[in-house]
Amino acid sequence: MSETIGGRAPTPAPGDAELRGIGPCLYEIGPRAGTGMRVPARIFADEDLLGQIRRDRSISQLVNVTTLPGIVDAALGMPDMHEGYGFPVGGVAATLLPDGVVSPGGIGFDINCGVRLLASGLRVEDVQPSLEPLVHELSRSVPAGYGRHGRLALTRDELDRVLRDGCPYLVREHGLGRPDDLPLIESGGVIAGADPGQVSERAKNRGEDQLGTLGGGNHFIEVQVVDAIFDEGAARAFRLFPGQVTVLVHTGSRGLGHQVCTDYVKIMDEAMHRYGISVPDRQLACVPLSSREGRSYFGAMCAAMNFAFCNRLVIAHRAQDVFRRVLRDWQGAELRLVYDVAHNTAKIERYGARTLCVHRKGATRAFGPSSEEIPAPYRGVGQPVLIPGSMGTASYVLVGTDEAAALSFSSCCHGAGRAMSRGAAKRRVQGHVLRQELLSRGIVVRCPSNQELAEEAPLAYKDVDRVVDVVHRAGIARKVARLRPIGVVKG
Amino acid sequence: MHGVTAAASHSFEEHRSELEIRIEAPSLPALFAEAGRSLVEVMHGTPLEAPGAWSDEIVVTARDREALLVEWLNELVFRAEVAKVLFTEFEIGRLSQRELVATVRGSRVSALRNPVKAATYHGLAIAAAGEGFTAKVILDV
Repeated sequence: MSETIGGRAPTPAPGDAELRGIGPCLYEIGPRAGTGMRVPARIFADEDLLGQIRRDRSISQLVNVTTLPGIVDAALGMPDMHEGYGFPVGGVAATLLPDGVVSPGGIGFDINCGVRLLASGLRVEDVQPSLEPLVHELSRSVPAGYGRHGRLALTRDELDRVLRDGCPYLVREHGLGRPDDLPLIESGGVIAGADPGQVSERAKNRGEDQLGTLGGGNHFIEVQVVDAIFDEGAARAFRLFPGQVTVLVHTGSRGLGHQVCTDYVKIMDEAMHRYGISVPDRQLACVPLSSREGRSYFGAMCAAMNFAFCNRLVIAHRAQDVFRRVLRDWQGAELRLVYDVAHNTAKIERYGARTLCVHRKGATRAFGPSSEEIPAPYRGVGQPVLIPGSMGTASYVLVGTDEAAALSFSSCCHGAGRAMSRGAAKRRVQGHVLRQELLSRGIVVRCPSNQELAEEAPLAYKDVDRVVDVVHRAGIARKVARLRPIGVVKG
Repeated sequence: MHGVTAAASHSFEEHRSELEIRIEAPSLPALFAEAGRSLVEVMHGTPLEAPGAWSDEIVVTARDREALLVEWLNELVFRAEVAKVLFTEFEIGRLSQRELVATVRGSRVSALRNPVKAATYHGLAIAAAGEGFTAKVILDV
């Protein structure tokens, strides 16, 4: 294998003169004549993060997004934005329905990659003596890696029910999860309009043995401890307290979702000329959501979202079993669902009189307290927003704000955001050394190989504390609590 | 990229969370076969059988030859994941601007470590260079 060391020199992004500050931690590039920009590109960042963002081609990619037919207000970059393919990761774009477009590249291959937070009633000192067996049992109970067989075998009919009916189906007919959990999942764990008939047999073949599996890359299960509270009222509503042990599950729709995106990028690449659409990057292929191809993709994408919600539900069920088994002598070992959020989606949402298709690629929905979609326990507080950090660094619980509706289509960041490629991380970090470092900080790690551990080293990511600070200062979400890892199972 | 006359070769260039494959080959069939070989380099698994014990015919269609390259790689991603197979050999039987027929051989593995989600259309290019061809395609990994 030959390899270009250090990666490609970035294509020059729009110059400093074109980026102007327009608000707290908010920069804008206005539409320029001859560029095809229909709306401005706006980026939530501070100067330091903006400097990091400018090192790759994500700003140029965000400018490309502003050319999509039907886009309104602005294409938005979150502070964790980095270069992707077509859309940047950490990009948000809303198109006006019925004629605005839907673009599979604006959601990404891992449809509804997302995060689920579970909270125990235990303190870290209760769990510490059992941490090693706890993490070990989690790694044994939840299949990790790529294309591995899962624990939940489904007939094809059952898979179709998962795709159409989402988490309520698993709760009602498989006894997984609890009815009380459903309101604590974004959209109740089932997206209306999901159509298994629009999901190809290929996608179903890829997904049929993957429900309940973590997948590789940056997917993980972490055992964490609440180490800071920033908003006592919201923390009380979310029933979080200092020293509390929590579990964070980060995964998505696995091969099923990847194949749905693959199938429909091809379909739209072939179809868009029929709608008079041309795009500056073929990976931005798109069609009007109201078109036959647009409706078909949306039905399939919603089905893949349901699959991902169910995937996290099954994994959480396994984690709950492990906690009960390993910590059976402790009251409070029961893991309770705090919330489950998606961060690669397109959703139909109302903003004033407008009905929009909001694409979030590497971005999290963050509804404020006034939203009717806030579950009863959190009403008047806001939607929990879960931000996983890189492996071994802090994760955050935030809460959505009403102001975010006007600022960011109720969206905020989704994580730390990669600052370095996997290969560069492996050249900088030795997996066995990182494993020892994490252990010396009291973090127990299970990972298929030292090499894959090194790929996800904390130095490969932006500083999650800074990313979250920007979100907080920009007013698109508020900090509630910080979670420190004590155990990591890497996919 | 410079002119191509020698045997097919490939290299990788890393992006933040993507992998760009650059291929050089003396002919288009050799370029597509080399693209398959580059993909295999990213996947890992412990073979359960002799190289070439598994084989299948693949037919791929697309609207142009660039899209055909993406579809070829995505077909291989799909087959590898579903059949749990690591490919060892690519025999390009027929290749036009819009259709590819190939025979692929490989070994089934106990557990495939396949970090490739898909090949993308982003930055996709195939170009004539010297007496051969060059191509680049970006994988989401």
